[in-house]
Amino acid sequence: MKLKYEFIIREIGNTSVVVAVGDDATEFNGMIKLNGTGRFIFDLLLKKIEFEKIVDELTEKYAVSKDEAITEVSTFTDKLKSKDLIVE
Amino acid sequence: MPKYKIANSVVEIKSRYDYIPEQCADYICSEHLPTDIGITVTAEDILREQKSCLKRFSEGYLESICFLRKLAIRLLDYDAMLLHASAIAFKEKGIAFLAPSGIGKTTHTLLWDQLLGNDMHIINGDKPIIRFHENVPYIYGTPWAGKENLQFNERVVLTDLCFIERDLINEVLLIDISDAIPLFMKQVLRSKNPNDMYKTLELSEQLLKNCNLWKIKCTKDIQAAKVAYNSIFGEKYETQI
Repeated sequence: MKLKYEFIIREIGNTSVVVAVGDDATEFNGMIKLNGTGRFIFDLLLKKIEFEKIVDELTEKYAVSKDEAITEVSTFTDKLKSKDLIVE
Repeated sequence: MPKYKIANSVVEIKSRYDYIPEQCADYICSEHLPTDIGITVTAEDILREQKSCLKRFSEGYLESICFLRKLAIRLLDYDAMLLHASAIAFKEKGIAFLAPSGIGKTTHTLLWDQLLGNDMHIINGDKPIIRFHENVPYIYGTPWAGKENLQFNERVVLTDLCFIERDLINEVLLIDISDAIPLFMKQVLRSKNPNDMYKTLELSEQLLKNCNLWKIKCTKDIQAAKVAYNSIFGEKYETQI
């Protein structure tokens, strides 16, 4: 599982804004707004961290159960998949 | 070769066609100033631009679009960015109306013109440039002014960003940065280059923090301009129908 495009992130106000850059950027002309957890997961995806490792990191960072972390990461990555921003 | 002064930068371009000299006539730099930005548009650039368009355009027009794209990227180094908006100046305030093409930016701008008459200037009807001077955003007229060619070579402090939505009622809401970001980003020139795009986001943040942000739901009649005017120049935080 990896991000389909090259992305950059910047805080605008209290919101993390994500946009695509690079040669394929015109295929995704939208933007993503991220909250705190979303930003945490997205940063790990940018570092090409695998699903299981992201779950571990989230469990540790937010002191949640593994099941809760799996649900959180799955929900987030499913949203990205629905927008065709992740490839398996 | 003529030099142009656009958004306070001296710009030089050796154009192949007459379109740019005619279009930029109001922006000729008459002072003897060194060039800040030199732009070259190649035949390949023009061909690439034509391929990206659904309609067939003249080479002169395409050269002008290529010029604008290249200029917009180079202006980032001068804390300036291109915006897809129409902009007016009134009572020393710059007000920009933003919306996707076809929603009615020009219509709404002309309603303000009808309401305020000669006290108001239309700075630009399509692609003004925002430039920061000592952290203050100024909105500048440019020669790229849409099919109506509504433009005036002046600058004013930009104080208000208004996101236009077509509606059956007139309603004006003050919105926060989080709500404005998606609306704003749709009207910003995107760059493939990460550094340029990052700079664009940096300037966007600075602008959104510096301006009043409004969502204007409006009809196509004069009442729309009256309601928007009352909100921007009258009491804030008040919803009017």
